[in-house]
Amino acid sequence: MLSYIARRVAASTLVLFLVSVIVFLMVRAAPGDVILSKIRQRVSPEELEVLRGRLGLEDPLYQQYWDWLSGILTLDFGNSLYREHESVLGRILDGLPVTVELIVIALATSVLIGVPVGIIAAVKQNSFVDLVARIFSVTGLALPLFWLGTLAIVYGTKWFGYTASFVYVPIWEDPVANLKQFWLPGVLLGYNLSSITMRVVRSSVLGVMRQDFIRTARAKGLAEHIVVGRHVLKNAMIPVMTILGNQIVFLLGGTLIVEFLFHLPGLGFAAFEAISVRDYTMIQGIVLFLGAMAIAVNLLVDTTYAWLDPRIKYA
Amino acid sequence: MSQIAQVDETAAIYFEAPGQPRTRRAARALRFWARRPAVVVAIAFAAILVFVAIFAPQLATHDPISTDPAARLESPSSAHLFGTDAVGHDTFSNIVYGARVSLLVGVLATVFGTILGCLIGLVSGYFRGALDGLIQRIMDGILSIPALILLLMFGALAGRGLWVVVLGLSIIIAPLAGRVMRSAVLSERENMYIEAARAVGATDLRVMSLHILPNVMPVIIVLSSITVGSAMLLEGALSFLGQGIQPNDPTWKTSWGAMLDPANIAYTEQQPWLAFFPGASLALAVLAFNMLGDFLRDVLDPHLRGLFGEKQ
Repeated sequence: MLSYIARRVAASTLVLFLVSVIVFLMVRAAPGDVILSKIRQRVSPEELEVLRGRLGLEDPLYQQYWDWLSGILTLDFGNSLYREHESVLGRILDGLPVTVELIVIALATSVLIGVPVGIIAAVKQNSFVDLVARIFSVTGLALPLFWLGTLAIVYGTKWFGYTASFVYVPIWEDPVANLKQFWLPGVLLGYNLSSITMRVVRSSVLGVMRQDFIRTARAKGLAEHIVVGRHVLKNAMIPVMTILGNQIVFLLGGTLIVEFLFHLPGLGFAAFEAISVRDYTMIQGIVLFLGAMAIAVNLLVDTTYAWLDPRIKYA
Repeated sequence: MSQIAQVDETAAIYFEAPGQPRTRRAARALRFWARRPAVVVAIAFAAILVFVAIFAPQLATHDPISTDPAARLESPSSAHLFGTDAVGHDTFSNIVYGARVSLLVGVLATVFGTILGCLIGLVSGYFRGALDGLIQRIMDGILSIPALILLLMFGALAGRGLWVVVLGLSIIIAPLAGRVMRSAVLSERENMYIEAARAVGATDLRVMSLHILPNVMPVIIVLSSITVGSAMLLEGALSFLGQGIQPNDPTWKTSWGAMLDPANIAYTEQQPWLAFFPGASLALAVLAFNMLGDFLRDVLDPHLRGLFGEKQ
C-alpha cells in the first residue's frame, strides 16, 4: 500500500512537470505576444523593445522556462504581463473561492439528484420511475450548458422575476447576496453532471444486487429495505467516488461557461481573459494551478480507492 | 435472462444462416426494431441531420449571412420559418448551415482523435516498458488540463476556424481513446494465439495490425460513437465563447454555438424565439448521437455496459 502511494506520488509529480512543459510551449508557440495586445495602449516602438527585454521575452526559451519554474518552486508565480502590477498568485487566490464555491454547489446538486434517483431507478428496475429516470439522464447529458444558462437568465428574468446580479459579492462579505448570485449557475452545472451520477449509481447498484451475498441476505429473511440500505449501498458507492472525482476534475475548467455567463470572476474566466490577451505568465500560472488541482484530486481518489477496496492489486 | 435472449436475437440477425426463409428473418428484424422505438427515432433524426447538412444550400430559404434590415427580430412565419435575428439574418437558414458545422466537427474530430489515440494506445500497450510509461504520463498531462481551456489555448496558437477546432478536439479525444485502446491491447496480447503468431515468426507490425487490431475493433467503435456528442457540445461551447467558428464565416457561414453568442442573444427580451432554435437543435443532435452510441454499445459489445455506466 505504502509503496503504491509512493509510486503514484512520483508519477503525479512527473505528470505535473509535463503539464508545465506543455503549457509553457503551447503559450509560446502562439503567434503574437502580450506586446501586441499592449499596442492598443499606445506604446512607442522603442518602449516596446525595452518592455520585451524587461519582461524576459528576448531570453532563450530554456532560460525563460527555468526562470518561471524556479519562481514557482518558491511560490512566486510572477506578475501579469498585461496588467504589470497584478500578481498571478493574487489573481489565482482571488478566483479560487469563486470556482470552489461553484464546484461545491454543482457537486452537491449532482449528488443530491443523482444518488437517490439512481438508487430508486435500480431498486425498481424497469418500472415507470426507472423509465423517467433514464429519460432524464439521457436528456440531461445532451443539453448544452451555455444554452441552459442563457435560457435561465433570459426567461428567468422575463417570467420568474429572477435578477442576476453581475457584481461579484464574496461569501464572507454578504452570504445571502452571494448565494443569490451563485445558486443558479451552480445548480445548472450540477444538473448536467447529475445525469452521469445517476447512470453510474443505477448500474452500480444493479451490479451489486445480482451478487450472491445479496441473495443470501434475502434468503435469511432480511427485509428488503435492510438488504438495500445495509448491504447493497455500502458496496455500490465505491464506483460513485471515482465518478465524483472525475466530476471535480471536469468542473475545474467546466465552470468557465457559467462564470462567463453570470459574470463571476473565477479561475476559468481568468484563464479565458489571459488567453485572449496572450498574458503568458498569467496563463501559465492559472493553467498549471488547475492542472495541479486535477492531478491532486486524481491521486486522492486513486489512493482512497486502493484503501477501500483491498481486493485490487496494483502492479 | 432477457439480456441473454436479447444478445442471442441480435446475433441471430447478423449471423443467421443464409438458408433461412426470408420472411422469418424479416419478422425477426421487425421485432428487433419494434422493441426499440426510441432508437428508431434517434436513427431517423440523425439521418435527417445528415441530409440537411449535405443539402444545406438547397434547403436554406435565404442566404444565411445576408441581412434584411426590413425584417429584424421577426417571429416564425412562412417567410422566415424560424424568425430572424437582430440584424435580419434568417434563423432557419442559419440552423440548416449550422447542422453542417456541428456534424462535420463532431464526426471528423472523433475520427481523427480516435485514430490518433488508437495508434498511441496500440504502440503503448504492445511494447509496454519505459516508452509506455512516458506516453501514459504525457496523456495524463493533457487530460489534467481542462478541455475547454486547452481548446482556447490551442485556438490562440493555431488561429480560428473549423479545422483548428477539429484538430484541437482531436488532441483532447486522443488520450481518452488511447487509454481505452491500451487496456484492450494489454488484455488481448496475453492470448495464446498472439504467442503462436509470434512463434511462427510474425513481425510486431503484423501482429498488431492483423491480430490485435481486429479484435479490439468493437471497443473502438463503441467508444467513438459515444464521443461524437461530446465533441459537438465542446464545439458549441467554444463558438459560444466567440473562439470557435465565427458568425459570418465565409465558408461555413455559422455555428449553433455562435448563434447563441451573448451579443446575438441580447435581444431575446424582444424576440423570445431567438435563443430557442440553436440550442434546441444542438441538444437534439447530441441526444440522437448519444442514443445511437448507447444502442451500438448494447449490440456490439454487451461486456462494455458496466464500463460506461448503463443498464446491465
